[in-house]
Amino acid sequence: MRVTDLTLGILTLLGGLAIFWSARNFQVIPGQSYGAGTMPRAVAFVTVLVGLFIIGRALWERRLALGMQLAPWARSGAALGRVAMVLVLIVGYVLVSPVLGFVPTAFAVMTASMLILGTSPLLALATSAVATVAIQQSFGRLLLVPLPRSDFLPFLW
Amino acid sequence: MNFLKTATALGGLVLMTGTAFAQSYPDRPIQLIVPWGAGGGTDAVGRLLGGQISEELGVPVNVVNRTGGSGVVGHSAIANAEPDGYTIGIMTIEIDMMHWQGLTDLTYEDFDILAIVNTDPGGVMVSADSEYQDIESLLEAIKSEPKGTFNASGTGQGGIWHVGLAGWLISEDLPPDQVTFVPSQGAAPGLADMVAGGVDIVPSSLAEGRSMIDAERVVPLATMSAERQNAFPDVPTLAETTGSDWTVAVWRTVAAPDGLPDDVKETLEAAVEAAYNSEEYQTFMQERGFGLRWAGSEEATQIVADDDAAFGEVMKEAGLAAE
Amino acid sequence: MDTIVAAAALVFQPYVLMVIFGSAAFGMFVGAIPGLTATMATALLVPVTFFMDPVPAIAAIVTATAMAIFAGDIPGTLLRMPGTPASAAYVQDAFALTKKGVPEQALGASLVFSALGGIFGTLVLITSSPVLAEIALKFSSFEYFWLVVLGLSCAVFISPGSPARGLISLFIGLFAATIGLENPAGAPRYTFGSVELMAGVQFIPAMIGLFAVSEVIRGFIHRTDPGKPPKTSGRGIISQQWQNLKRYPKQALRGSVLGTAIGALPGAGADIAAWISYAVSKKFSKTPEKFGEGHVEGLVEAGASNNGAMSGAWIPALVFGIPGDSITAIVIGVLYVKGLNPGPMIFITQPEMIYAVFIVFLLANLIMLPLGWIAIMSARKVLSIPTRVLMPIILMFCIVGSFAMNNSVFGIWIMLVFGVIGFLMEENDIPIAPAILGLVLGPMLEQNFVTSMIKSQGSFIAFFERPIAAGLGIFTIAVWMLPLMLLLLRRRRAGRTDAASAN
Repeated sequence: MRVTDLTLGILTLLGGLAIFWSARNFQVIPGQSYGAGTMPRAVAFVTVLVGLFIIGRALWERRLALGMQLAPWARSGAALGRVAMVLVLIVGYVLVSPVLGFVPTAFAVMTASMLILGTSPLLALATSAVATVAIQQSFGRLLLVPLPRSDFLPFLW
Repeated sequence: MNFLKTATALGGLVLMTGTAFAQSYPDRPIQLIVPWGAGGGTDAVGRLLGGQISEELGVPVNVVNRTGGSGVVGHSAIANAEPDGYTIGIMTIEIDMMHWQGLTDLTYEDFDILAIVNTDPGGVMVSADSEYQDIESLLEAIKSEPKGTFNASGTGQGGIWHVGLAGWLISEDLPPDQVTFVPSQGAAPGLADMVAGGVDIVPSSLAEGRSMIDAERVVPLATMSAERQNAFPDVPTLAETTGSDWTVAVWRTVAAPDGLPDDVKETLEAAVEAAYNSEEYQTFMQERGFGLRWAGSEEATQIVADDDAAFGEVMKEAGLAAE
Repeated sequence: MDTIVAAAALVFQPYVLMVIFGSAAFGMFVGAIPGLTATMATALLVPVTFFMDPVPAIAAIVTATAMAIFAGDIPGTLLRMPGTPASAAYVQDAFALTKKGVPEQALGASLVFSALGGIFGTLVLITSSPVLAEIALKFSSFEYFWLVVLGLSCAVFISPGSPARGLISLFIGLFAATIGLENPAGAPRYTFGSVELMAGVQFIPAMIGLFAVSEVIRGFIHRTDPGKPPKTSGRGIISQQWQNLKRYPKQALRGSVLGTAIGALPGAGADIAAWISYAVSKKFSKTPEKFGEGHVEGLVEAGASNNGAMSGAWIPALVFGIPGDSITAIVIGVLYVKGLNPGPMIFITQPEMIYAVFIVFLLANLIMLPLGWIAIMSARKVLSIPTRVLMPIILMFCIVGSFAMNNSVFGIWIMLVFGVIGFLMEENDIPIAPAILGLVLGPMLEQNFVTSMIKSQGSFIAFFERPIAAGLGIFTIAVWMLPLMLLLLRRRRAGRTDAASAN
């Protein structure tokens, strides 16, 4: 997923311009010439300079390729799939845990990711179960974090 | 997906039957939301009261900090919760200012205010090496020097002490920006900057300056209250020195989302009052130098409403309110 | 004296001592696993410390990081996989000793000289910071502005890779810091009407994302497990170090001094200190040709240096509230959350707190010796825990930790976004530390700049009017000039020899 220098420079430049554009409506502190827009504009200004610098250097050294170079892993569909799964599991936790509660969701997320990584099913189930209860008890009971409650296992609370 | 729907329905059913058949309030843990960070003054008040309320009602009270956004996040979390008595919170004075600033539509009317449990009047503090060691000469200098000669700091832009300072200046027939306000993230950084010579005045509560006053690096010149404060008997009021009738004080209230059932409200009010009168709370507040003040639901709502109107006026005149 | 007694009372409580012991073990464990850094140990620990009082919270972080930085040497020595970037500097020598069949020599030297360097740095911290704090009381927004700029500049120029990439990282952090309501104007920025976004990018979920989640993603990609580590024996781990100390006293002292000094620079930390000290040691050695072949000399100096830097980094953190490296940046974030603003005021208002931190530092470096010994002995076991079991548990910790900071699901979203950002940054060789410093220092930078402009009524000259501000300003500008000069020098030299100047 490594982008070429020229691409990185262009992305940086565009990012800087976008910040500059977005900061146009930020007001100043009443009676002052500085305010909410000062910092974003300063950030945008230097970002644009850095972008130009990187573009300039790439052009100077005649490295004109655009796009990205894929690392060996990124050519493997399986590896990409596993990356996607991490993100899916996190999003899944956010969406499902308020419904099912912490314990079943966390257990499912951990077991699933262990299986994806190639742990044997028995070990995955056992360690996930232990880890789930340990996290629930330490954060939920000891530290009083209001983890999503589950109506299936009320005795854990 | 079907499984999810069933599960949601099941969960909802369990919850509903749970409340419908509840013998009496409260039968499960209460959540107390503090809109400010752990370790600060509001957090300490919340945790202490939470512990006492828990003893009073016999269920755990979980104190939860929902911080950020100058208090908007936490106050929204309280107001948007179910008004079933299982979510209460500490509502602070910012509720009377943030809607004027246009940050939120939330006002005190979105809450059932149970009680005021603390107030701290504003003050006027200068550095120990300031050339003005009494309030009269300071005011004289502010009047005679050109606008912007003096700087003050101690809260964010449009924060309570900014409003307090502007209100005082208006009451002395001065433009509200005669003293330039330099925003800071709270009273402590403002005081530090004043000791370093960065600003001239900090108009925050004397309680917040207490350790610096004790270390003799900061001098309190006046208190913006009707009477002198117990903790600082030598500090005169504005009324007895410059003759200004301006007063301002921060308060902390215990509040719930608007629309509590009457019986729940009564139970909670009694619990909060008992917590306020507990020895733990009283000694703690005195040790920290916080002002003790009790006002029950009706009186508290009146105070909050009056301040809301007064701040709105000052903020509009000082250009701090959104159009 | 009363303060010291009060401070000791804060530290010597069963609860605090338990926390110290527990986090030491935790730091050892995390540091010893290749790929999990000292910063990650801190990142995972923070959600737990959030629920503690300030003293045990600081104690937990200090002990865990000191321990993790040493423990990073263990996989480096045994498997040639440095556990933390700080121990990458001398991994060649350490692994060469393992191949010779004496890994305990390398590990013993790292352990003992890490502890010595750490204690030296702590003594400097204890003696210098109250004095500096007295000076810092005179600092107004002008001085702080320059200090922040200096810290950010150091972070960019010293970070591995090109300064341009360091700048990109820094500006990602600075931009993220502008989101929300907490700015001098009190105006909402980039909130899109969301109440949650008004709170801005919460620092701790962002940090967990950048450091831990990005690592988890990498773990999911590569699925590699470390190989079987060789056996270690306890013989001579500690006793042999007397001879090393007698043979290399100058090196140990030089490493400690240089490490502490580098750590004390805002923006530079243990990683850089170890690299510089290793290079210095080689340069001044009588037998530079032995470096890299299993020579203890460089280990002694660089080992002392990286732990010295760890303590030194706390000088600017405690005195000015400006972090020396990403770990102190995290700690400052935690202290702010607790309403305890680091800076010279703490030295006046809560001196017992500061002395308690000093005591904790000494304890952490002393407890390191016995625990380190245990860690070396049990290294084989720890190293054979497969990552495919560990990564999912770490992922769950990240999720719960991000949620716990504000008890809001929004924290998990922040963590996810920054996890992806952090992963993409590392893929493109963009260092992460400047982004963290940008996120922590961004609000300070803005606050001090805008308030200075208000005070000076818009005049830039005011930044040079106060003597200390002028000094700091000139120094900062000199730091900017330095890389340009180095670049020119290198160009000239490269032009002369036409050799491969690339590193």
